[in-house]
Amino acid sequence: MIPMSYYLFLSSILFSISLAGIFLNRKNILIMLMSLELMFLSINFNFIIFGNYLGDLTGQIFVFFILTVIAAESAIGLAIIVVLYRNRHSINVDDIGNLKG
Amino acid sequence: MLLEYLPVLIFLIFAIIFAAIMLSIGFTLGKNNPNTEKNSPYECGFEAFEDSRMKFDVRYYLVAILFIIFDLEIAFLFPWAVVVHEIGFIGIISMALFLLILVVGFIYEWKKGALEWD
Amino acid sequence: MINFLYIIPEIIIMTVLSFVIVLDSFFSKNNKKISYYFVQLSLFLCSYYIIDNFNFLNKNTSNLYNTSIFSNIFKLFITLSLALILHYTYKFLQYFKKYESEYFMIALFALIGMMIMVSSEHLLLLYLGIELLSLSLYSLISFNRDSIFSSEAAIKYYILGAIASGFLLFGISLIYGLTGSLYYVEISNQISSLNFSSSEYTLHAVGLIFALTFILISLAFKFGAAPFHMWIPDVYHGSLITTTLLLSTVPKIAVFIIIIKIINSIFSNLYIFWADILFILSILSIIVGNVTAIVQTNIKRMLAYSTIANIGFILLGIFTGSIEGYKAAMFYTITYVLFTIAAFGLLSELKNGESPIEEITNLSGLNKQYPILAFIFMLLMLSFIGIPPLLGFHAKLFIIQSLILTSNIFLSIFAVLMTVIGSYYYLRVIKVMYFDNLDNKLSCISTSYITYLYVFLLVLLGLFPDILGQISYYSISNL
Repeated sequence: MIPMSYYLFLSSILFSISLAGIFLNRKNILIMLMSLELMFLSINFNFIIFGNYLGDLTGQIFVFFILTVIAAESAIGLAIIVVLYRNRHSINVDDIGNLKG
Repeated sequence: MLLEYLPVLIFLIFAIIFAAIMLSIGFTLGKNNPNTEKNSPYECGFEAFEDSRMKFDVRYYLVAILFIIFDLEIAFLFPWAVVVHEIGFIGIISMALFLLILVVGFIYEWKKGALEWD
Repeated sequence: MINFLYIIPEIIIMTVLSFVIVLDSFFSKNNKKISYYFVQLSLFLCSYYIIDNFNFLNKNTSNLYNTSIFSNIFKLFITLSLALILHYTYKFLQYFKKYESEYFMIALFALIGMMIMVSSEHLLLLYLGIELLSLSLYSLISFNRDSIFSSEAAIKYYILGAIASGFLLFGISLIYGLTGSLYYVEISNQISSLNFSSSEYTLHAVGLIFALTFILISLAFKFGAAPFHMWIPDVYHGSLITTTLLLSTVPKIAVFIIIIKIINSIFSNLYIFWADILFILSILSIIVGNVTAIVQTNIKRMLAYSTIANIGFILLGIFTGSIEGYKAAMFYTITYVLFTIAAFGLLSELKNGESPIEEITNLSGLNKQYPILAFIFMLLMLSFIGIPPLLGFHAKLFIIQSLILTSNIFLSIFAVLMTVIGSYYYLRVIKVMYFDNLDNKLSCISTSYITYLYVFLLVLLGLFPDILGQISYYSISNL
């Protein structure tokens, strides 16, 4: 039997990695999207662990909803990226800096 | 408690040793004389005609976006299908409403021409 | 038995929305504006239903979806404000030939999201509401497809907004794990059974404090409080002025209600922890907002920083943790939203040459050409500063009063000082309108009787502040 804290460590580490991935990544917006996905998956992991630990289904139901919402969210994100690409022919993070003040 | 994982450890050690032996046999005993034909990439049956790191058409993205949305309704349909006997009429009505809303989205997408390739 | 009668306002909106989505794709290009009228119709039907069944809705005892007086007042307020906002949006989009009926449908989706947020008594519903709102806002911001600014603002808001929802979810998952429930009532029962006063915290308590911090950070982000305000100026600047109008008003009410509810019902026992967080957030917001607004030249950017400063004041009211403070914060929020609608609505009715108003200097000499509009805009700016007979004065007064009542004397002095600093940039706008030379390209896209009427009502409300004060007191005590 693996202690529950190990699972929680794993999910927190994944969460931190994804957060670092968003803030340290200076190249491509698509990589940011992937990091976001990782972040939500680490949270899902958290929910499943807690749900299992408590013997409660709510956690798993929550995971379903999170999955659908992030699917919708990444669909919108991809659509925004397509619009961005059409306007400036690049999706590099460095090129985004027209709004300043 | 950790003793339960002993077989896994033994298995891992064996796998690593075995793989290392096989690879080193290949390296030491095999003949090594490369030429351009051998090193060029190939696709099954015909010659490679472009780099595999090409740019995708943006329309693939659109298809992917639409796919993601309609793909995930299954995540709700499966658990529903398992318990549909127990949740009765309310369950059927709720799923009907859910699918109706999806159909509204689908009609919109169809009329907007998002499903057409050209 | 599930009783659907309590969620009829939401059902009305959703049904009309589904019909409009299907019908609109069959309309020809010239008939698309019928969709707009359908949308307005659904808003009025919804508000009519809420007014008509006010007492009935209050009987709902569900601990999942709350339709008490408090949430009904705010649903009504949000719906009616949205109707006004969409009126301005429609005129603006028609004039600049950017009309798409999708804009109004997405706005309705945002409305449903906000209604769910206001009514939710369950963390899953809260999350779904917030996401529905945010997803709609992402698409509304990127609505102006040909503009580089618009898509850039959208991608910025998207990335930061997704991180904020990640934080919210992480906090929710911790709460779920530690209390085993997602209902507000059960969570607060669980938390009140824990002991937080001892000097050594249990693992449970530490986890809950972490959860509180995560959730508050995410809500502060959605609210736009410093230091999580990075997106506000960019998004306000980048999107169309009517999107800014929508974005800066109604979502703020919804998020404010969520903060009040979470703090008051779930975490009421953790006052010492959230008071500290809110204290830092509000002080930073007021300073950052007021000081940075001074150097702005773009009017949308300037109003964005003024939003941040106003949010600081709202959080200052919540910080006190007293009923008086909540009431003051609510009064401030309502006032802020009402006046922001008027200000941005008026700006959306002006144009500079063939493009919308962007810079503060675009407004120069407004008084010479449209004296009434200039006078109205001056009234709005004076209210933002807090000049006596107007509503903004009472709002600031209540906040400072509640600070003094909870013996935060230094904070109240700080608030007054910051108000004085903040008045500078509002006064600059008035100076540009009244004393600078006329910019000949400035003109008005339509005569706006609704604006006159609306601002007249606002001034009347300012003369009798008790009306709004009673409403906010009544709704807070029925939380």
